[in-house]
Amino acid sequence: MKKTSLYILFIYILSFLNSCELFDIHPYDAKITGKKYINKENILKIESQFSQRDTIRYAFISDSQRWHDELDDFVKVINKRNDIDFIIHGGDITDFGLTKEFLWQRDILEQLKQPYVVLLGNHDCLANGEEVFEQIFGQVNFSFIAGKTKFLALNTNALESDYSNPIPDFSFIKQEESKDLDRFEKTVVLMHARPTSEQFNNNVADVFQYSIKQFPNLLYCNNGHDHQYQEEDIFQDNIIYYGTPNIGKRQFLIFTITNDSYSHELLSY
Amino acid sequence: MNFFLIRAKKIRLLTLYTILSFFTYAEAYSGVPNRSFVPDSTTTRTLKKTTFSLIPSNYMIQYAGSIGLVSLGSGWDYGKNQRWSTDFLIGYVPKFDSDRAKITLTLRQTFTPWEIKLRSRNSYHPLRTGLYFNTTIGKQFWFSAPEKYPINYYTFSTKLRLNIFIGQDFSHQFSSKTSYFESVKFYYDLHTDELYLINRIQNKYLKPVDYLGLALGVKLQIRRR
Repeated sequence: MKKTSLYILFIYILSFLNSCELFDIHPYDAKITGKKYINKENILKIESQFSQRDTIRYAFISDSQRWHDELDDFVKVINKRNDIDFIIHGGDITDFGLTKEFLWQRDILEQLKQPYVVLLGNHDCLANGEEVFEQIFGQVNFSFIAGKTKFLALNTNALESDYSNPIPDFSFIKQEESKDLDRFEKTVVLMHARPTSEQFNNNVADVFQYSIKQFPNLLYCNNGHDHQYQEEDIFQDNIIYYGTPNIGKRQFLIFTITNDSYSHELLSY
Repeated sequence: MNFFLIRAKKIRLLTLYTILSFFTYAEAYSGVPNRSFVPDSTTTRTLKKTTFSLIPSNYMIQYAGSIGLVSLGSGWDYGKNQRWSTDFLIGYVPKFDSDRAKITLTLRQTFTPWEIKLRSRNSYHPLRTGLYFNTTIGKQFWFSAPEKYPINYYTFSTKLRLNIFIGQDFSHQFSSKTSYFESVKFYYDLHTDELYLINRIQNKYLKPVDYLGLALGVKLQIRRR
């Protein structure tokens, strides 16, 4: 009798310790506790909240790997404002692809009052990172419509894969081109690494540019990866690529899209 | 051409060689003595001692510790008052939310400086500390970044982790004088690895519960005759 109760006590203690998440099974264990499929849920919010809006304003941040303090401060800064509709993270939320890095950064971003989406960065692909990313955030290629603008988020981390995975995925791009045509008038393309980057499959850079220009009224592109502010007409065709600094620099971009134009500003905090 | 491949093969061969050499040594010394060679009592004692030092001192099972959900292994105790211990463990990581389960190998060096004798054949070691290397088997993990990347693109390894730990243990001597196992040892370790530490050093946002892990283990000590 005494022995049985001792065993029960032992099991209780074990399960208590386990619930404290004190046990680390493995750095790449892909043991996800807490919220999953965040992009999908937040896209539903963005599409329903802003469907009737002419003007939308979003913050674009990127490369927050190993800058937990700075990301945490960013969340506090954004939560003080009430003019930002949503936040886009351009990828690299982990440095080593560790499961815990994904969870730490997710928990910081979850403090945001506004909906947010996260793109896949090259560091997020390391080891089994991409599998973890797909569980926590969702598909690596996705799109959503805010107001009258379609946001096309594309995985461009070609160096992280081989030819078995099409990166960029032209069949996805093609499929998106004709989807929900009646719901949007303008297009913005989002990616982690821009054409000409060492991550990008530059063999298809021109084809890539051509295919995204088939979308209705392509305004500009957003990218991260280079850890600096960029404003460049890469293909000399009036399509500007705006790169945002890494969050470690305590800087980010704010874009405002109105009926007939758009503007952006670089903010420091 | 491909240094990474050659190195990986070499490491595999070396590991195999080390393991095999353990067995052959043990056999050579514990086998029936050659007829033409009749050892005196001192030689026999030395030979017996050598044999025993090559056979593990204990078997163990461990829960967590950044090396798997459950790990099995064996250890060798040595030095004055058996203060030093070298352990080898094989760990199993379930697939959880990834595509496949993983197997890991661990080599651990432990230092246990003090022993406190308690009543009824119990003893307590207030400190056990040391470090362990852990390697994960699988194609997605590499020792150094593959050649396709520019030089110094990723400067760390996804395959090899270095952990440091600090913990305690309790041991209980069985009353039997002839059983195969002479005692059982319960230990716990608080541990962290270099990648968690780098994250911690740069950010005060992370709390100890974020970057420290707890491991629990049981060791069964084999009787020495």
